Amino acid sequence: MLNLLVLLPLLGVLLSRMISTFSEPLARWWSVLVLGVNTVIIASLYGNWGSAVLLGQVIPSTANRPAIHLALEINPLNWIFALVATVILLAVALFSIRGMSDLENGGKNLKTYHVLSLLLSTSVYGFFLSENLLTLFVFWEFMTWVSFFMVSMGKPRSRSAAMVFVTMSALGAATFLGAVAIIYRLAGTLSISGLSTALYRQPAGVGYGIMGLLLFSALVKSGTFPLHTWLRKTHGHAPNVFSPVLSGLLTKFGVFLGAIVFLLFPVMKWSPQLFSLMGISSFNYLFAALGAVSILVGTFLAIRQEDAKMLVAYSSVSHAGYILLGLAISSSLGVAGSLLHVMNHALSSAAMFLSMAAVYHVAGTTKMSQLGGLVDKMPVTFATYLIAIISTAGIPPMGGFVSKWLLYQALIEKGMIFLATAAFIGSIGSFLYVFTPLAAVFLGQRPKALEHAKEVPVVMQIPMVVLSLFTILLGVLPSIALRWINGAIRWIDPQASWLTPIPITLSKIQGAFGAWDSVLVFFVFGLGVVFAGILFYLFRKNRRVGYLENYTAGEVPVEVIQSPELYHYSYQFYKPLTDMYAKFPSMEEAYEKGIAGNIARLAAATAHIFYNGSVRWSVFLALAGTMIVLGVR
Amino acid sequence: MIALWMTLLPWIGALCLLLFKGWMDRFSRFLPGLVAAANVLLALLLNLQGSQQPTLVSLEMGNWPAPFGIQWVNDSLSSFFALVISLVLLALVLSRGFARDKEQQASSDVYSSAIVLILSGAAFGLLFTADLFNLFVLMEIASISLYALVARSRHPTAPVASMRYLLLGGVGSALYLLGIGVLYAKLGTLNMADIALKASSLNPAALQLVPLLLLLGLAVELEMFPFNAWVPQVYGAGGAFVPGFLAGVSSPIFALLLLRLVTVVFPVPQLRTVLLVAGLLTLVIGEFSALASRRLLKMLAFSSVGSMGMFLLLVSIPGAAMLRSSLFWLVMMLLAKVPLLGVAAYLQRQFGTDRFLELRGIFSQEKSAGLVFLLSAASITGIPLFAGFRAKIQALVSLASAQYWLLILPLLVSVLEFVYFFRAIRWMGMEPPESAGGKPVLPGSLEGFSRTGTLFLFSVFALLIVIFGLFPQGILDSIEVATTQLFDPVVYARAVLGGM
Repeated sequence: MLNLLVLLPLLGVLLSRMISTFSEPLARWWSVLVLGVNTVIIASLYGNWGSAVLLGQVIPSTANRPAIHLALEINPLNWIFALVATVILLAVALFSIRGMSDLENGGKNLKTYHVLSLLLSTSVYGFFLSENLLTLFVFWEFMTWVSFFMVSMGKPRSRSAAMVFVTMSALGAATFLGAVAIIYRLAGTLSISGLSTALYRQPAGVGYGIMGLLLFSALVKSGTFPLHTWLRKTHGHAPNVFSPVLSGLLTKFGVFLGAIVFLLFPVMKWSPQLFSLMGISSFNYLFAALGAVSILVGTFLAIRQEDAKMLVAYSSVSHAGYILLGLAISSSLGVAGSLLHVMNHALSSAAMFLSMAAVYHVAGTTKMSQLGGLVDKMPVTFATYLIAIISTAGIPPMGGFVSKWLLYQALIEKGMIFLATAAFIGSIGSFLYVFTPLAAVFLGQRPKALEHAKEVPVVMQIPMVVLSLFTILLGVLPSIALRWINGAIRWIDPQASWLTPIPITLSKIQGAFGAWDSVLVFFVFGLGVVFAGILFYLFRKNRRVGYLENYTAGEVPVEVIQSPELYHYSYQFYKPLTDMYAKFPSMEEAYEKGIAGNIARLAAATAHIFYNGSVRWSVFLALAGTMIVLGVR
Repeated sequence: MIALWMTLLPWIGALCLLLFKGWMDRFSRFLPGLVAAANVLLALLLNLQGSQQPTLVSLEMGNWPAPFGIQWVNDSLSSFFALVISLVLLALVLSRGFARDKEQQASSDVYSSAIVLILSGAAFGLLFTADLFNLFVLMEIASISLYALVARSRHPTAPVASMRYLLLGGVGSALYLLGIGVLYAKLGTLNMADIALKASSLNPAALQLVPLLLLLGLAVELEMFPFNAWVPQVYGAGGAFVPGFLAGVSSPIFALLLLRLVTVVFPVPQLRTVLLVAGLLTLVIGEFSALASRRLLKMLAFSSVGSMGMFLLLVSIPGAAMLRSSLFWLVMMLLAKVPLLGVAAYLQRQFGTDRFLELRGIFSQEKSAGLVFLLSAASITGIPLFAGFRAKIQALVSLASAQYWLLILPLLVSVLEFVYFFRAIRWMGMEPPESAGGKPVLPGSLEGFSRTGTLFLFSVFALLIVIFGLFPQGILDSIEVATTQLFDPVVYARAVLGGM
């Protein structure tokens, strides 16, 4: 059964190619069918925990070690991730039936894209359902490889974005592989659920070293500070239907790895040997701090973006920080908050990207200064985006609030004032940046070019609506998800020595300092919205203004004639704020021109020194080498 | 006897080509291919002789008993590799035949074909020889043939490349002869098995000096730093045969000879230390230089150097597991190197350049070449579940079980590998071509049957990469059988000498 989840999409790839030769739209529906079947299978597997071997003997057995197979396993922890993954994949597949307008070369690349997205789905299922670290690595690399091609199919600059993406992923893969080799040597096994027992007898230094290596990979993949620089370009230039998958799923690869490290390693045994900060080990505090910095960096960089997709990319950086924060704190509230946040963020960021893709489908751009006033033309898209940003900003009654509330409780419970401040600033800041696209794209004045815009086709609306409904559901009845999360917590720590399940009833969640009654709050909000709506419709007096009817105190600045977008009131919306840090050094440039540029220079220098074409020099090198080898004893 | 025929057959063929030049002009097109195919059959026969258990067949030249005369030994290792090498040689010779220029003078082709045949014979001889001086002779035959073959290439840098190779090869040969001289003076024998039994009677100074000299002698062909300055230009001169031969036949054969040297003849620590350091240097310098390359052939040449560096690293660590990992690495990597170099040489032939920036979007025109390149690159960079991944994971696990810090450089360097291979794929495969019609094919380029045949040959390799990635057990078992004999050098040596 488990193997089906991976083999079905793989089989689907072959059939997809055949189907698309005689009917390309049918191939898209075929993808939807395959993913739908997988969704049903995953949903039905809840409670039927177990494992299955996919391919035997990837590392052959040796005298004192058993072989490592490519094996899948389903347990309460990865079931959550797998469920989120399959929902997002299904939604995006449904959306892709019509929403692929930004693919370069139009029709020619479409067939390849669909094949690649089914391959990507295979890697996603395989990754989250891995039984051991080797299987995890295999599907991780597979996913990187396939994503390289998918990203490259976007706008012209997507190719260099794909190179940055692949380079950083390769770095993560290298550290991951190093950790896997070390663990295999130390423990002889790579089983994920058995990591705690396998590494129990290792000293803390070794243990934390391995964790550090794995967390490096996790940070790269999830786009957390300081390894977040690849997200902006990749989201900005990749095909529009790739971004929801990237943000909602592929970054969760890193988060899943982080969850394995913080939850399934025998940290409780090692942390007493390290000095502790604020009640948790300094190792964990380091990563919690990185998470907090990531929140702030993501938020402030998002505030100054002028392209909606790049803005949401930075919001992913910020949310990855929240998730890392909760995992690093490793208390019950923190872990529950993080896992719930994974679900909420996946849903909301996928919804945001899908609505941006819908806008692109209609308007041909995601540059906010060229859009506006689409609220009455695209109401469903607007509603999706609105619900998604309410969840992202962490405002009740949407799901995002509950997970953030749990995280805040965890921070306050431990008295971590600085990290909590960062989290609160991040939350408020996130309201700033999510509002910009709302105002710029949907509200405000509408450019003449978009007068004839209309809502996207139904098949594209359905996934957006479904994701919004799930977001609302998780906000009204988070106990559904929390029940699953409690199951995972019980599986991680059966003796409840460091993690206890969160006390919940159908509508109430018990935190550290009080309870949250989600249904009650939802009703209060609902009543408020209804009341406001009544007032609005009874007393509304609004006047439509044209695009250029803006108040400029009688003056017409010279620049405006040349670039009318300066008249667009959403351009550089937060200029006074962003001016404060506009001149700060850019990490993206530091990595790409600094580190990568210097490595390229080193490479050129190496080639120039040793292989420069001079025959005398080559013979000299050979003889010098000989003398050194023979002379050194 | 079969082993001897694998060498004699190509040499007789070469002799015929040269002696009967006038009558052989038409036949010269097919002779190398026929001989290569015959060698494959011979290799199959050789392997059938000892299918499950290790073989040890000794050939004494002129019936002079070993260790007085020259001895050739066919053990499981050489049987296995004879098969692999003969298949690779067949592919290379066939692709060379496809690449034959229609306007090219038939008579000049006779000389090149003769050289190719001499080279093939020497290559097989090197697999079986058990005498150090015979090794030298065969090595010289092979090297000189290569110098000549490279110089005959049509690329403008070919003569200089060949001369550099010649000079460096000369340095290596001189060092090797010096080593043999000291050895013979001290021990009175040059039979590898005999030396293995008598090595302990050497005084410590000689024991330190001789193996190093022999290693340095082989270092040129092994593409070991600092003897590998010839590599980029020689590969860069292109051609359907030479780069593939160097990466797919020459390097593996010398790697095997090194293996024998290190495990049987002189299993001494000094050799291993030098191998470790040289391996790391070769790996790092090679991969960094690959990153800087703008030409495909040079990039692949450096990549080949890098993977040989990794091999040297693996060999430097004693132990059965390391031995198996290093052989597995050798086989899996050559599966990928041959098609990569073949595609690069093919592109240079068709479009006049192998700079990937000039070959923007070429794979939209050359779809099968692109697919082959993609699969081979995936294998070399270690993407699961291709053949190279299997080798890489085993190599890393072996390195980890030796020393943890040995993992650092190979892993970091693998990132570089990823970058430059994907850069090439990006420019040649993902970027749209500059003009709508694609790049014009040059006059004298391959078309029709020649083109299909060449691409088919590389596709076979790509298919093998996929198959062995999923089901490597056959190769693993053969390697297991091949290496069991080498683990106890004394027993092995006694068996070779027939209980003398």
